[in-house]
Amino acid sequence: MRALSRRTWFFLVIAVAMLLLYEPTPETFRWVNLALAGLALFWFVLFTIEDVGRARRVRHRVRGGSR
Amino acid sequence: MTVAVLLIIGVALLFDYINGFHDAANSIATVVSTRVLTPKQAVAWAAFFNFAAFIFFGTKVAETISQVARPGTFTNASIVAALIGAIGLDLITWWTGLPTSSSHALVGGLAGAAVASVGWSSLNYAEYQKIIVFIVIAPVMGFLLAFTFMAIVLWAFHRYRKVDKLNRGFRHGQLFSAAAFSLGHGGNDAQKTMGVILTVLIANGIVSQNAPVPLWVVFSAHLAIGLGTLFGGWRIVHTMGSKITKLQPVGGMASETSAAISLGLATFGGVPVSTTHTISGAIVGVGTTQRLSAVRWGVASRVMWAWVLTIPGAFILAYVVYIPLKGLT
Repeated sequence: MRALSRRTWFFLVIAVAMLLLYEPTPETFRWVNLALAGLALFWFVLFTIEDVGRARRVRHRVRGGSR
Repeated sequence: MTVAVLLIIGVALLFDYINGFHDAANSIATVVSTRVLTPKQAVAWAAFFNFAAFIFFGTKVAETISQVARPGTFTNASIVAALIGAIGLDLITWWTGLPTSSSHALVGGLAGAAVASVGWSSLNYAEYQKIIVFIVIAPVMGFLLAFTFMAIVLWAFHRYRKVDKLNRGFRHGQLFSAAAFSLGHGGNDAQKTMGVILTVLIANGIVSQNAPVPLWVVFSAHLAIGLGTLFGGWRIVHTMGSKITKLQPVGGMASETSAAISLGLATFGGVPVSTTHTISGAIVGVGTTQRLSAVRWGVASRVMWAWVLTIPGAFILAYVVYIPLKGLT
């Protein structure tokens, strides 16, 4: 969990906020919530992959250096 | 039309003029700082597109504003109280430096005046629900679109070495993005004033409850916001000159285009949103493509406080102002 940056978490928070607002949003505009939540989730997944990959590389380097 | 009606319409147009006056910076700051246009050209460009917005957008936002309370709620006194509440809160928050939205202040003022004159049952909660939800959605939309726009540009051109040529392209693009933002600003904000004027006309029996917005109202509201932008822009040119923060053309274009799309969408949907908060969200989105710490979170948290405080603040002010005005009805 610590591998994820603040930016990555930020996008997840936005996605959750948009989904929480789904119910109070009038029906005609609900597609906006879904589109924005989808976009935020897309960035969350992309940054998660990037953060996890970076953390793995760092761990690998540290392990390689300690040998 | 009585003198009282003309006076209230005058105050509403003054509110519109002030809106254009202090939002002019949003429209011209990036084109001036990237030297795409000279300050004089930028002011004229923004003022023209703020005025021309009436050609592109309908009057759905104005209808939403005129329907925030049930038919028969508003009288001349309550509309004056609403306007004084909104303008008063704008002035207080301007003095304290809180970046509030005049649109939210107007909506809060109308609610306060309606509750003071008729009671809670007078409010049209469906319209308020739409407005309150979009207080959060509009800046988030600006943020996500600007972030995505910037990310695509950075990804597409990361191997491109001719930076000067690239910047020249984005400079030209900024002409269109600034025009689009000014259209969005004029479209959404001028319609709020149209909504108030329509409410006055309905309250005085000059037009019927479901009548469309008269053309002279549409024209005068856009003229007032256009003139406000023109004179507000001049003031910015004189006081700020070249001190505006240095921006990259691509960042300016990304934030303006994203804010314009968000405002256009809200305007077509008939939702009054804050243009200032929408462009702020878009600028934060551009900053986030560098790193999250590049964003001035102090400013962002002040915007969030503004979300929380504006509507209740204007509500209370309008409510209090209505009490001595009640006899004037």
